[in-house]
Amino acid sequence: MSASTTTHDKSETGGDHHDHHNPPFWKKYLFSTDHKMIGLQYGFTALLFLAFGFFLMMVMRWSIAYPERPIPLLSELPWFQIWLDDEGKVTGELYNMFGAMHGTIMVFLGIVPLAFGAFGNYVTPLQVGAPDMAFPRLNMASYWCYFVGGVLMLISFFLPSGAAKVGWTSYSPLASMTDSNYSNIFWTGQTQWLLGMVFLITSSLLGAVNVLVTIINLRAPGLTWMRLPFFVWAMLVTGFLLLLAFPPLEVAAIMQLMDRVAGTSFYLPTDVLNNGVLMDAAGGGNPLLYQHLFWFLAHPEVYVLILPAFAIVSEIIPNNTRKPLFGYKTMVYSVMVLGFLSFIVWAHHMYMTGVGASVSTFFQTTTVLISVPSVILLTSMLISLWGGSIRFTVPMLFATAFIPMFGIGGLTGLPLAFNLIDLHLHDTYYVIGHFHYVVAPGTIFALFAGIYYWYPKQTGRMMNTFLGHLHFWPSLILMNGIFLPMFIQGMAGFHRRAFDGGKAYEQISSQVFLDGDSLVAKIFHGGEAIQMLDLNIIMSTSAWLLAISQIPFIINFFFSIRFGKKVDSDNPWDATTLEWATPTPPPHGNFAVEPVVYRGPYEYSVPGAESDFSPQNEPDAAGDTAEKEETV
Amino acid sequence: MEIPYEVKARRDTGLWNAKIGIWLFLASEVMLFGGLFSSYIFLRLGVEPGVDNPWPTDVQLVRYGFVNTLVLILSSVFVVFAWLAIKEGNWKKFQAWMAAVIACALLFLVLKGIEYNYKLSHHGMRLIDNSVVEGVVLDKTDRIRFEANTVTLDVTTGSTEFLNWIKKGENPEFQLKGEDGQLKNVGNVASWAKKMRRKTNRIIAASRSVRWKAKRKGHEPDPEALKPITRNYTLVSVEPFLVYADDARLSAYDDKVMNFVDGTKVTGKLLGDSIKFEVHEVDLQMIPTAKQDQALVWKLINDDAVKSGWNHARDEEIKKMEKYYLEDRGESVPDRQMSSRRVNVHGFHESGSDGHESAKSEGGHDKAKEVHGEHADAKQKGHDVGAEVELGSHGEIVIEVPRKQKKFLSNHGPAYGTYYAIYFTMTGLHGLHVIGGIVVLGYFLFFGKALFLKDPEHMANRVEVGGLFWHFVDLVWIFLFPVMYLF
Amino acid sequence: MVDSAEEIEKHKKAYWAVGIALLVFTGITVAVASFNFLDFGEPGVSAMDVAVGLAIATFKSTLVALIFMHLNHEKGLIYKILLFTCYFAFGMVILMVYSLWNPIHAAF
Ligand code: HEM
Ligand SMILES: [Cu+2]
Repeated sequence: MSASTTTHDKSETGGDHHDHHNPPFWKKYLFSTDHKMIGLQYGFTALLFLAFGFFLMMVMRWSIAYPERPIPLLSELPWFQIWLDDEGKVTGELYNMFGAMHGTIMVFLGIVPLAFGAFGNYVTPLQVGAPDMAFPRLNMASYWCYFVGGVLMLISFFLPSGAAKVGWTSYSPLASMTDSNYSNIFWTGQTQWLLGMVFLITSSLLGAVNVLVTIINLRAPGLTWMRLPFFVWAMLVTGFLLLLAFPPLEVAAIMQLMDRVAGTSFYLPTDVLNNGVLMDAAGGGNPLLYQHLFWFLAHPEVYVLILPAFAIVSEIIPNNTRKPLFGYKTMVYSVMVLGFLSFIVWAHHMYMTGVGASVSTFFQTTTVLISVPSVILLTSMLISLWGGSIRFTVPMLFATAFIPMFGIGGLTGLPLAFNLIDLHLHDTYYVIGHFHYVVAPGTIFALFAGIYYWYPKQTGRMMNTFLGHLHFWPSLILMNGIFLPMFIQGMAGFHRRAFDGGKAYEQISSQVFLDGDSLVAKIFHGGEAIQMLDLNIIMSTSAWLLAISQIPFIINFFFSIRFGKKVDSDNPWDATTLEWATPTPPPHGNFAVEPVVYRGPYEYSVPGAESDFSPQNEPDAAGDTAEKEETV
Repeated sequence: MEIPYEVKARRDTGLWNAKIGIWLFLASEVMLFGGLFSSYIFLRLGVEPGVDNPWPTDVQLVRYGFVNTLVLILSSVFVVFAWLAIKEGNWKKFQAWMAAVIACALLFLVLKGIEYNYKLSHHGMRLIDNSVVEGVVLDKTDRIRFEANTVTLDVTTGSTEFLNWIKKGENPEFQLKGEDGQLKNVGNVASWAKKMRRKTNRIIAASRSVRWKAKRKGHEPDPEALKPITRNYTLVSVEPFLVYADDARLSAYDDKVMNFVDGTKVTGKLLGDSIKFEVHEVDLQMIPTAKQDQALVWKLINDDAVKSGWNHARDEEIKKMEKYYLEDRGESVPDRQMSSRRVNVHGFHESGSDGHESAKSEGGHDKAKEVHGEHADAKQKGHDVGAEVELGSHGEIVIEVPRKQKKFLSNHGPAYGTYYAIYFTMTGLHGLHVIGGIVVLGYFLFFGKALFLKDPEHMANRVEVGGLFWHFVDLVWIFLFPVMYLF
Repeated sequence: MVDSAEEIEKHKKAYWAVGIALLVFTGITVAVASFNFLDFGEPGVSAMDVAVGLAIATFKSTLVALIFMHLNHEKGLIYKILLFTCYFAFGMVILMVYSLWNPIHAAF
């Protein structure tokens, strides 16, 4: 147990042999090549984008809940008025813009960079016992590409045309011709969106290559494939998904860019009309081509959103149940099968586009098949809880909540796999509810769990538990308050992307959710029937309260840097994996001594062991040398 | 801190880092070009006969593609020799081979440039009945010619489309009638419009917030805020100026007014909107054989010699097909083979002979003939009918097409059809890869010596990685060449 | 691997041979496409021409990959990566074309 005393102070005095003793500020914080610093850069930028995406969503939720009222705060800002109508209300245009950018920012600038960029960068090299990423400078380039992509997206809000408005899916032909009335098509929201995407894709590709090579070639001696923590496995598969799924989107984006700037008609059918006028284009293209290329990326992309969450949760669960992860090997194979199948299910997003019966059948089958490995992963985590003496630390709270929340998201996805059911549910709030359960109380909870869990590694201090609880419980309840009613509305036929939340549709808005004489209506609604539309108000209120309940987290995060409880060792959670064998915080080059691995990742409560956890780098009494020799 | 396995291979994987890295990168490149080839197939198979433009199969400058293939293959060979030279420890030899590689790459780009240029300087026009003429637009008549004197702008868009279309060299000076009725110079229109956009938006915003605040408090808003806000401003030009506008950017126009898509209204006098087009080829594939006689082109060309020459060439083609199918195989001719392909009309018109002479010296024409060499035998002497014909710079017949009869006009650039679109996109992306290769390999050539002296194995690894990329670029071209040029 | 002098010599021969083969096959492709008497299948561009052209291109690119890119003796890991990639790339092409050929109004 050499690592159980803190090396915190030593590394601060620079008492180790590493080069660059005192790099200048810009080198240390801006153009750092240290994977941990880059991970933190990714993390902070992504958190800011998440907050911004959240803000956009709150504006949208106002418009949905109270389409007839002016938007508070924003309608007081003079410069913002041009986006509002004469009465200070959110316009459809603004809603579309915020909706498209909410989706884009959340997916491409928030979750992926936080999950893969930040956690992947920070934790992976530590867990495989590497001094850094395989290509540190490429790693820096990857972050800066991401940054430029993000800046382009932000700039587009301030253009005369506003930011992109045609949804995060950016479907052609609408996306090919939108904003074509501006004289400089280059400086329009949609064009900048495409350019931004090209940068983001490049960033992801560089990041993926880096993570993959690090995992493949920089594993510490003795760290064989089946001794890799599940986190690393999930990152490996995520890396492959990014590497191979993003290029087709790049193709799609480039072709859409050509449609917009060079006047091509990749996605414009012959004699297509724009605003009722025959478009001046050669035609002959096919809008479905865009959808194919887009969804070829975007289905694997949802696994990019969720696998890092699995990765984080499966580190935290064994650590807090003090027992090994259930079915580690099965999980590893499942995640590989998942990655493999995720490339051949994409057209389940295209049932409505007129694909034929046999194509639908094919994709329906593969989609149902892919649910098997997902369920295996989830079930293994669930069973891992069984019989453990669980420590309900704050990360563990988030991790345990992840399981049912992701479960709801995943299981509500199953019906969507079936062509016939999807024809009814496609593009309704049911779908919105489904994938938000996966990403919001699913992935985001896992990311919070990860932040609480690895925080002491970087700062040497724990985050406050009370504030953690104050963050967790309201978030859990409110998340369900937002997304659960969406299923009901969706099944009732509420269409997504409606800026008044469906109010304009008489048939929909007059639907009754609960009768006047039902108990709930009697208590809460004065005996009046509760309509489907009233659910909008519940959801929106939950969303704004959710924003408020993030305040304890923000306070906790910054407060604990200075005032949190100091950790008493490098391994405050008594964990087994290699990142806890580094000094706190890990210096440039990470490990004080090159780690050697002697055992699997989750050896908790090993019978006969002197403590309830056996770190991977702790030598066994005997018999290890031989094994080490053959598995270098 | 040193990262392990940068130069030496790791024992269990047998690989050094950059080797895995480059193969992973190439894997993603495979997906990139895989996506592009998929799109190619999707677009090509998706052509609906009779609705979409047929996929052109005989429009390429095969010669350039062929030579470029050879050039790239040679450069690929040179790269492996450069690598071997490093392995042998011979820096001079390495430099020689690498220089040869880069020379090949540059040659490739030059040829590509010539090819692009040729395409971009030729035009094609689809008429409303789907007959197609190929050739050259003369005197910039693809634009609408307009003499303008006033411009009305909606400043809230911040868009000044018409500025893009003012004839080069014209320098109109605009004045604006102020509130006092005085004309004031506005200076630079674009920045004036930007300023006005900001100002007007501020006014709109202020008035809105006054109004809804009043509404919330339940009293009448300040009448100031209810005053209509001026969005449209009329600029008067000191002197009339010429606008040559692309009709795609106009939502409507007539003798006096042009309306741009951004809402700008330009008033003045229409000078002309017909298109002067020098016809090199007539293509009636989209029109059934029986109706080809009535095609709109013939009304425009109005020269029976050309028409009958064209018909003759088509009939020859059909005869050939009938011989092939009916006589040799005993099947009927499939529909797709019945319609004529594009026919070069050179020399069909009456005064063709002297036009021909004058064209010879211009050069450009010869190439056109070679491209469509397979139709050279279709060139037949026309009958001696026909009036005076105007001839263009290539010595071909010139027609004047009223704009209403044009459906689509473009040069043979990416806009001309999905084939051209994917051709330019794929070869363009491939060209970017070539440029990337030049940069990387050029870096090794000029700046690699220090590393070579310090650690030759590291340098060899680098050259190997660069070489792998270069081979991949070659490999992509091996597929691009037949797919884009031959069929 | 190429470490000794005679191995390098052997490699040089192989590289020239491959280079020449590539040039020759390029010539063949062009000849087949441009001379009528070498035309396979129907006049004009036909499925047969495409098949022949692609077959030659595949052969050429295999030569490049195996010899120039040393895939004839590479480590297992690289093969695995490429195998995955091919699976995804072909999956993309095939399924896209499949859906093109099976629009909703087509018979099952
Ligand atoms: C917890 C907070 C969140 C709330 C309350 C929320 C709410 C919403 C709302 C109201 C819409 C618009 C629905 C419509 O009009 O069609 C939407 C769309 C969307 N959201 Fe979220 N969202 C949240 C988090 C996320 C996260 C974390 C992601 C990350 C992947 C995400 C991804 C999307 C996407 C992709 C769309 C579709 C955008 C489009 O229609 O193009 N959301 N969300
Ligand atoms: Cu999907």
